[in-house]
Amino acid sequence: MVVKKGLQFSAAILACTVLAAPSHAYLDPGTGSIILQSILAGIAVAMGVLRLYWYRLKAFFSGKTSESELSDSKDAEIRNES
Amino acid sequence: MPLAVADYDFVRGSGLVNDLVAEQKLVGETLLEPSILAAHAQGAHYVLEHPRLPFISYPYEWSFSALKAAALLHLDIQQAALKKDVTMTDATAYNIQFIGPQPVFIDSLSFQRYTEGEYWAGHRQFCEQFINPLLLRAVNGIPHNAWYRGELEGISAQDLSKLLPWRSRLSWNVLTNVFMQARLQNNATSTAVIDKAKARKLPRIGYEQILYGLRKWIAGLEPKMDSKTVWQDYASDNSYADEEAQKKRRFVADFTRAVAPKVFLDIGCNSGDYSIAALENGAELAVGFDFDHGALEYGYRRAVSESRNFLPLHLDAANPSPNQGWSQTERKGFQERAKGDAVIGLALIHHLAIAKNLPLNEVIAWLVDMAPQGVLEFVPKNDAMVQRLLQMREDLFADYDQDTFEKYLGSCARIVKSETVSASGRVLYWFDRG
Repeated sequence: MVVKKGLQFSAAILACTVLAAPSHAYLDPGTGSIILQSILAGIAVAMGVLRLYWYRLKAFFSGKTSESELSDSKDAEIRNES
Repeated sequence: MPLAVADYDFVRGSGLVNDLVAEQKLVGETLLEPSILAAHAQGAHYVLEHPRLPFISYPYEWSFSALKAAALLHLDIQQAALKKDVTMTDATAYNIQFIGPQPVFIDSLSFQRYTEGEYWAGHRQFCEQFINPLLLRAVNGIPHNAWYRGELEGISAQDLSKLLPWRSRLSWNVLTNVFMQARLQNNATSTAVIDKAKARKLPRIGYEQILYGLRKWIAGLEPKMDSKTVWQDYASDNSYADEEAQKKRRFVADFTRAVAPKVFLDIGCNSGDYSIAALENGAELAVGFDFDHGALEYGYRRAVSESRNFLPLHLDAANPSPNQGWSQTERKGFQERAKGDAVIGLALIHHLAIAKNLPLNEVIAWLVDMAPQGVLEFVPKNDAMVQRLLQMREDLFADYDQDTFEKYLGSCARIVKSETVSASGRVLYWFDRG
């Protein structure tokens, strides 16, 4: 499960940086907004990966499985507050 | 087959529309036989019918909390949609209407199939139409309404970034969504940068995190208050303890029971006391209008917390929302929309006739035009409120008296009943122009 999540995050980071085919929208999304979204997504994903490793590290020292650490955490969502 | 048909099939197939309609987040729809519109839309694949909404309002008339509720609804719908591989083509605030204090999404054709890696096309629009107007009030303490009415697309990041104080950069969300976005937008003028931006992909998890982060942030935004204003100031005006308020409440209650209005308009609603009296006596929906942003905010919160079918909206009666937008027909003015089954104007007319110098006969005719029946209040010159309005200025209002008021009201409607409600001689008039 954790490995799968890690893979998912890594794939997501890769996707952030790799260029792909253009998309066409009903609305002009604004170049500033697009670049900003890729930055925000990159940060969110990077934080997700860090969090994952943090739980694995905690699990290693506490003797719990990283899976249960993850589900114990009430703050499982990535923090993105003001 | 038109593109929209494939999206329509996919979105309906996903169950999203049914779920949102069941949760009352999306306006209902019935699929009709396309032949019903054959004369107007030949070859239409689908014809949908939606229930008619009782009243149309625009974001420049909403209170802070109403705009915030609309923003949260939009994000909730996006989050639910993404789970079903559906996304939205835009993020305009005009796609949301209110039924009482409850926001409801009305554009069921905004949904389309999500493609892995696609960007949130509506992000900039969401910032301009929701986030930036909310920040103007939350950070600077300026209500969004006047600016929004002048700029129907909302407030751009470039404009807002010039106004927000430097310390607001300490908020990660303000820093990124306003300052960084403005800078990136200003700098992204070369075609190379634009092409590169167009080619980027947004991973689904990034999309989800952006929505989640914005929702959490917006849910915590509150209007910046003057140190003098507290919601309790408005609450204390609600006490029905004093005799005058009780008499007025009874009069409005009797009137409402007799008329049984579907749409009850309350011009100069304050925080909604008389709208609530009307709702308790058979009115289906009360739409209130007031100039005071604090009163609107309190009224909206009260409608939500007490589950009242009451929507307070911003109105400067001397300068109501005009017809505007494309061809000046896109967004209808106040006058065209403010048609109800009943209207009341209590403690209002002296503000217009005296403080704003408007002709008394025109003010009365303007109110009477809004509904076939209603209640208007006459406040005499010797009343403390009118004396306060006249304190710093010359009294130019020789014909402002009860006889003239009755004459003008009588010339456009029949006076059914009247009652003196205060020692100073305030009088309520029930009129019927039917």
